[in-house]
Amino acid sequence: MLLVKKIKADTVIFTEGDIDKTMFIILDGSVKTYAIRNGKEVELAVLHKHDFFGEIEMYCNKPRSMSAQAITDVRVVVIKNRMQLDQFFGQNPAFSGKILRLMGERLALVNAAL
Amino acid sequence: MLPAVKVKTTLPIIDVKSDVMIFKQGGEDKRMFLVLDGSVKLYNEREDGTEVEVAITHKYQFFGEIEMFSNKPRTTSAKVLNDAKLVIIRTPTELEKFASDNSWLSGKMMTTMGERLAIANNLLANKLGSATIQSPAFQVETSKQIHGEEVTTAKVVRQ
Repeated sequence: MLLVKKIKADTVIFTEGDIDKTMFIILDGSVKTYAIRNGKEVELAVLHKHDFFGEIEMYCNKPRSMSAQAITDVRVVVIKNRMQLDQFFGQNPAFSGKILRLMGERLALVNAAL
Repeated sequence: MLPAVKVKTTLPIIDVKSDVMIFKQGGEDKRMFLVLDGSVKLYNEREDGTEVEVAITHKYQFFGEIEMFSNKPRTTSAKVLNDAKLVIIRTPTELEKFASDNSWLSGKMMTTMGERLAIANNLLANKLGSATIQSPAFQVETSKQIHGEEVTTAKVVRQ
């Protein structure tokens, strides 16, 4: 069984620099991601229902490149490793397509900036 | 180990013989290919005609995905190494449908995508010194020195 976690508004889910490989899929609510650059908080994205975050660190051995904080009360699926991700896909096939597509878009975007 | 499940799709599946070129560096085609059998070599072509191997893709790996999501020409050429069977995915919507119909394969595909994303992200961070990237509400803010001037190279916000 995958863990579904309820998180209160304003809670910091993870912090830039943390060593943590968990990926989250939002079931309800909104989450913002941000990074500290030149001493200032730079908002990177506001994510909503069925968006996901934290996936990059699942695939690399680097600390968190950004922080994530709940804007509203949220419910998230907590995915701790690739086996759990496979399990999630098996149970939610339509989701797997959506996530793969978004990953492709992210990859193309990062490559474009290279 | 993936289960012995047959791929379920209405997308075109082609058999391609060894040494056949699938696409050429600089080409405008945007198709993505999933390898069902055989292997395909991705490589860069230098001006002097030599080939620099970038990757070899095997069963259930894919290639050509970057151009499907971008408006750029092919960054590599692709040639069949061993007789190959390939699924042709022409649009992001077809990819989404394919992954949904074959969720047993999605985890592996996402691992490949995730590893490529992590590598690209890392390269970008190293190359530009400072890079902040997140999506689906994409925002990229990067800068680099070009001819001594700091130039913003990308800034993309949610579309």
